[in-house]
Amino acid sequence: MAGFINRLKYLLAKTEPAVSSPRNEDPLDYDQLVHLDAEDLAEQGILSAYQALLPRLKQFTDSPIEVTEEMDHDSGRYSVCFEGLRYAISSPDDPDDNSWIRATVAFFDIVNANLRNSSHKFYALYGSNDLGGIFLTEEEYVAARQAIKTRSDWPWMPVNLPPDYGYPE
Amino acid sequence: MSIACLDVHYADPRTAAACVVLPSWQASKPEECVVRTIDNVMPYEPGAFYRRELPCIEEALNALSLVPEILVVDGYVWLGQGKKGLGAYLFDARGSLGAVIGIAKTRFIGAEPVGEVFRGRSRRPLFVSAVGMNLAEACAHVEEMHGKFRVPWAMSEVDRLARGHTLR
Repeated sequence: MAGFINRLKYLLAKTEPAVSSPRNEDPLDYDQLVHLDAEDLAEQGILSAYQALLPRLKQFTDSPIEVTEEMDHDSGRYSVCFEGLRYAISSPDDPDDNSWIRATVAFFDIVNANLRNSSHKFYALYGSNDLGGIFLTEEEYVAARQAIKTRSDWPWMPVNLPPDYGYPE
Repeated sequence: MSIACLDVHYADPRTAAACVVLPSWQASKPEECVVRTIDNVMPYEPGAFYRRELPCIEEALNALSLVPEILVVDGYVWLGQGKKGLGAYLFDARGSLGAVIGIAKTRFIGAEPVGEVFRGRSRRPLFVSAVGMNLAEACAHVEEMHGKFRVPWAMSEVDRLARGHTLR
């Protein structure tokens, strides 16, 4: 829903006459937004989402990183592995359910590990069921954060740092 | 009773159709799995998605050694106002089937009759439709399908199989 509202705001802003300052115009191209959904990622969906992103990722790298999953569909235990790293996403013994944000961090780490030699990074937009991702240069990222008034609509980089994990609230 | 869960994944240049057959709704292990690569896939036609999807599904079904009585597809059986969705076309095409159940992850505005099923801890429903079976019964079966998550394990597995095959 947030994505739709933003898109609407963007389209409306484009049709406004010159009274609005260009500085306030949202510079993001929402047609390039990849819808992800943190719930789907957490529910054993990281590899599927990564595979779906591969055609776009291949514009930035010739040899995408291999990702594997460890999952137990009886218990719901789920981990993803890449480049010798293992990210535990969900576990039946986990008392606090942070699987959505752990999956978000893991997914963006995986995609951005592919972009080390690129001018672009893969940034998050929104979160939870509305989570999306977008490829931006550092300049585009900074410009978007300067132009977009609502902090929660800013592009952000998920990091494994509680309590906000990089989300711009 | 055999229940075949089906999915098709399109990825240029390869399309794959997968099928996971379950011996019961609660089963956590498949009786049979098949994946078929499809050549000459029809182009996408707005409003007639079934024309592209149906031949792919039939190819996977024809590769099975088992003969399933119930098919479960990723999508809708009915699109509203009596308009057929993929599931209804599949039911007509296979003739001797017991039922086809559609499980969709996203709401299709106007689709009815559709039941909402909540699974796992998710606050988002699955949208269930059926032909050859009472809708309430179909919803109850989707609810009891194996897996802790919103999407039943067998539907995730068949998606994984089809998607993985297109990347080979």
